[in-house]
Amino acid sequence: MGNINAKYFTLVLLFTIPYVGIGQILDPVDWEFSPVNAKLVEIQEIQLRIILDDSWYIYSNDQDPDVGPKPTEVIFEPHDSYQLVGEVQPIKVKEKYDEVWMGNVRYIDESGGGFVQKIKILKENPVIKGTIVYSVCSTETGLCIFPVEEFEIKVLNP
Amino acid sequence: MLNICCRKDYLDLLNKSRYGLFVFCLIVTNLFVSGQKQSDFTPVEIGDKVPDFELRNMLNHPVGSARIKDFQGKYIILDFWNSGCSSCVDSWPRLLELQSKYKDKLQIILVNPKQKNDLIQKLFSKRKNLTGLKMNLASSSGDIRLLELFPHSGVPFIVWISTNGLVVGKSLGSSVNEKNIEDFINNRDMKLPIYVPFNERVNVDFDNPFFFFDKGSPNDALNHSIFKTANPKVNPVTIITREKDISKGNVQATAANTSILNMYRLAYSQDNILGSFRGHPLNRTVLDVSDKHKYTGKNEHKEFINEYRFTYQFFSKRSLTRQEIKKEMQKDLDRYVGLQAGFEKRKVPCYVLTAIRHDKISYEEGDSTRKLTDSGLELNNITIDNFLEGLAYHYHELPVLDETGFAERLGRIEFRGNVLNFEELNKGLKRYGMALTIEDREIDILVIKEPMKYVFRLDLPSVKFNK
Repeated sequence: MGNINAKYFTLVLLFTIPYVGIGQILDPVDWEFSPVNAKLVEIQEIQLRIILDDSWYIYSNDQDPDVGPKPTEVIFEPHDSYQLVGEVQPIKVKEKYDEVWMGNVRYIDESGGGFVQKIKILKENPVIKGTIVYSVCSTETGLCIFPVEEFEIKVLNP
Repeated sequence: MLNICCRKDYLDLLNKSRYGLFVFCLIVTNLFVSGQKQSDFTPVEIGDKVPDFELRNMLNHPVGSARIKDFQGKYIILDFWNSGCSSCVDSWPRLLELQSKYKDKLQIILVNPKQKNDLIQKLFSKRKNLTGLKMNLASSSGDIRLLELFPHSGVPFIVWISTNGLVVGKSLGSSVNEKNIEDFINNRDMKLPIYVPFNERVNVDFDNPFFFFDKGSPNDALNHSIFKTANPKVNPVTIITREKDISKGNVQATAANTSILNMYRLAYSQDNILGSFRGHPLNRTVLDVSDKHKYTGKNEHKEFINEYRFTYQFFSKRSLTRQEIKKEMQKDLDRYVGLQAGFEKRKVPCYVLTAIRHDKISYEEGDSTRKLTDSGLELNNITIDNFLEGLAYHYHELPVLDETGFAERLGRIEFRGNVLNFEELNKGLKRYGMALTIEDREIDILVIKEPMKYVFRLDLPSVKFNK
């Protein structure tokens, strides 16, 4: 498990707890990407936060593919304006023995979570883009959807 | 946001360099080499006759390719699946059982448009080793054109084709059961739940209350609420207007296309109850009714029953607080649905967090940390409520209660182990004088029950929706 940024965790709580019952989720899944600070020379984190509707879950990126379900793939497009530091780490991943696959599955469910990637900005006006290839399934209906999420990280110039 | 529309899928594949050439070749093959016109792969709707398309890369079939007419005389079930789909693979024993029971009249064909036979055969043999299941259903794979012919937003997805080549139904996997197959092979109406792919769904328009009126909202309405059958095309949503929007005069409670149970959970949601996630927590809700399916919106096969899903909307030009909106909704629901709901004190099993001593765990210094993962627990500079919020996420089967009596900030709690596991969590907590136990406690439970005398009939007239 990756190290969870405490501030981020508090932020997650701020966003989930007070809005109880009023979250408007129209598709089973929604992504939120934290911005980066263009002026920061130190290593910083990009959070790719997933918001899942009731009963939906995705498989973590560290899911063992031999068990059965395909792990989520988070692919950052290389660009000379930034570099990746370490690997993508899942946040709030849960693990359970799955009777269908007869093995352990690692997943993120409606209680929240996502992924975090450390990066270092190398140049002005960094371009940070990528793709998330994943499957999202419902425990309620058994339905699985295979979306591809393309993202571009917002750059702040304070 | 979701790339679920098949044509978009197709384009996405084309855009990705590693698939681009492959897809391009497929299109070329599609258009020129095999002489197929693109129109052959226009979506087949319910009631349409299926074109004479090819099922490629057949397994468990005498030859490598098949056509629907090769199974002449049989009713066909096309089961679209993918190896990453747990419920697809889970359904295999049931599919084999049904295939063998109805072998003279029915042919179930597995269709996996995106994956290839080497992967599929590997999975077949893995399932055989793991469970002894010999998957011998006819199977076709690796032909994404079938996604155009039968657009769907997820798997399992079932296409029901009658002996005359007409598509008589589209459904989720849970509809493949004995009851529906009996209707299918006897040419009776299957009464399948209405299937709407995600890309065909529409969102609630909150600027236009009572969106379900064809001619728009009555703009002179001051107060209004409505309870109606669900339109399966509308994306389900449950929402009470946020405080900041109330000041703008937008006072609404909306529960679109959802179950009665979820409506009540929204109407009785409280912000201070642990584990409240999109409504009052299920672990503090009791549905005390004779036929639960009517109120959960699902039958025993977990099949969505459209007749048991509804839409409720409340709208007011009065300035109401969120709590007052909920009160209106509570009154409306009881009146419209004919149930009685309210909080009752009931003794139920709960997760109870207790503590013996706590001298070691008062906060001293450092940043706020709250980590509860499968690898360990780490708490610093937090209140007991913060900790319990985290616990309630993972331990959601029962209500979580705090009996530690801690009021001060906590810190310095750290141990390794899978804290999502009850025993391992307790092993670690013990070192800090804490314990999570399951005990009976009298707490407020949302009880939804039928009144003794008056029972509302939920078997409302069925409503037809246009495609």
